[in-house]
Amino acid sequence: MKQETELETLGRQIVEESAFIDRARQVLSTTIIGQTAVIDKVMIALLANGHLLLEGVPGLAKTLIVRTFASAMNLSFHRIQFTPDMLPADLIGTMIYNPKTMEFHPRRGPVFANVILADEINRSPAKVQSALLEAMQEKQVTIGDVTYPLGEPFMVLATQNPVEHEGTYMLPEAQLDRFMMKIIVEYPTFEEELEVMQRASAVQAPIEMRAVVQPEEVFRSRSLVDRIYVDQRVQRYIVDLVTATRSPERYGLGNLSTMIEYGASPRASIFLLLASKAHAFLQRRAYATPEDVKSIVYEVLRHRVRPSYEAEAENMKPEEFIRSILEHVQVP
Amino acid sequence: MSARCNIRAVAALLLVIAGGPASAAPVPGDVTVSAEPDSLFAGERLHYVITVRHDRRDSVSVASLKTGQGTPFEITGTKSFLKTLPDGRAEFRMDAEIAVFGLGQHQLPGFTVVSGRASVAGPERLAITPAESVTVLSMSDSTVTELRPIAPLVSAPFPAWLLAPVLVALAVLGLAGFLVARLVTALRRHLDDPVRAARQKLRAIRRQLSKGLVPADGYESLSNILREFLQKRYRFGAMEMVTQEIAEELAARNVNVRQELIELLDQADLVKFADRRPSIEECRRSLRVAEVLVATAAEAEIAEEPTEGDEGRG
Repeated sequence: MKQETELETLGRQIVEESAFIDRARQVLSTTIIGQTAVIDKVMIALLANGHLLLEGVPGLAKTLIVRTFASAMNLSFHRIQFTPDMLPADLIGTMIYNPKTMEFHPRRGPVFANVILADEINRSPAKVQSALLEAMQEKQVTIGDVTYPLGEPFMVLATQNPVEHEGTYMLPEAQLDRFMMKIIVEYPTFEEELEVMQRASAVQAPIEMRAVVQPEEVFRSRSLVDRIYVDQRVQRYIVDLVTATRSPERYGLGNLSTMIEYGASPRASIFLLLASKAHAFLQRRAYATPEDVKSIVYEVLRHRVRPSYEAEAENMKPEEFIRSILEHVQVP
Repeated sequence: MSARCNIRAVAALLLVIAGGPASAAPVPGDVTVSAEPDSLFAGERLHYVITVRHDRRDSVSVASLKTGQGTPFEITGTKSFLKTLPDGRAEFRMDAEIAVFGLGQHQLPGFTVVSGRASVAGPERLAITPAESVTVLSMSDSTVTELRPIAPLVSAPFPAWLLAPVLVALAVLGLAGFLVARLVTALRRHLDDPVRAARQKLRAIRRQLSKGLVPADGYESLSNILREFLQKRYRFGAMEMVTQEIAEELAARNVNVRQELIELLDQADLVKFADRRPSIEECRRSLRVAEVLVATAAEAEIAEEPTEGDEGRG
């Protein structure tokens, strides 16, 4: 009975603390038409302390979503356009010599912000990507001899253009694994696009975004997310799903064993659990269910499952593998 | 068929022309010819036999057989025999194999019998012209003016009556197989009947509750039994679906008791995932409700079954 009371208390706290979500959604909807699923996933990543990889063709308001989101959350925002001639120092900062004092002074790079939009991350060579991904992992950067902690919350949203591959450096799998979720930004519906067009054609200046959420609210929510109850059954279900990407034959999916080059790492299980809890928080629940897992499983697993050569020849996508796995792994 | 001829009349005439035979020379009466067959196709072989009886002191041979160019005959082989007869005379025999050409009736080829003795000054010759003839037939019908296809071989008709017992046996076997299959299907359907199975399992859980089963475990079993029932009854992967997905499936299939079923599954979800701990009475009540819902769903299915299109669902 004690546990039940705790969950009920937690549930009430979640309902109270999650009020900022509605405020954020409301204010975001004044600027962004549609893309509600993408906004929810960004919120999940923020609550679960994860980073996102956004993939979509140009012109789908990826930058606008991130910028508006940061403004609404009262978080500092930097957009970094990755280019082939970029150096790690351009990202994290460097030591600048001051001839007056005859000393080197650190100059912080654009990575020092709460929300970073790493635009077209695959346009920069591996060492720049590594510098960013290291900052994502460690939440700190070292300039000269001094290590500087990054802002909190710290969230990286990197974009990739799925169409253009010329002159790009594909992110290695080890680096892709650092991103909690990969979100595919889809085209808006007809009605949404109509509204986007009508709003964008207005001559008057766009409405200035006001902050409706304070970072403290995010921190408090994160602590509640940590306390969300995840039953052993749900945890086992998560591990089942991730294991099925590595050993599909154990789940009656022998046909996938030749189609998957390699499956998701244990980090996927961790992120799946964290994201499920954050999703449950968005649903104002003090416990996670398999429904929460299913809601974010595509985003968490799609960049962690690599199709084999045979699968690529048959134009099979990771999403198809994940769908098959969901259809074969029994829900608790 | 063979033909023998007496050529006495012709020989007599030739004797007159020759001025009379020597005393030892064979006379036409001593010469016989035979040929067989008496009719044949062009190109076939004629067996022509010339026999000459003579004094055994004479030497006899046959010469100038009228064959070759200008005649329808062509010799392909000859053999000669000589033997002594019981009456002290000798018999000379020549077997000739002759290829015959030229359509129609042809007189057998003439020849000359040459005989002689050392005491006589020179050999004597006796020309023979057989009166018998041979008929040569064409290889094809002369009335044919165009090429005809070769007719296919006509096989003898199979005696159909032999099939009758085989067909009867097959029919009996087929009927027996059909009846066995129906029986097996009915038995399997009875054993696999999702309604029957679900109700049995629900009752078993109720019994186990009385024996100390934890109510939370009872709810977990209840959830699994209901989802298994839905999976078998409505043929969709309910075991791999969350409650929300099941609700959507049941709504799409317009299942009559879907709302009540989903409420039960939601209750079970709370127990399974929200660590809710129900009382034993609560669990019993839910199990009874589940039994009723399963039965109601089954009755609704039976009422709908007369339409053929719904058969696949249940």
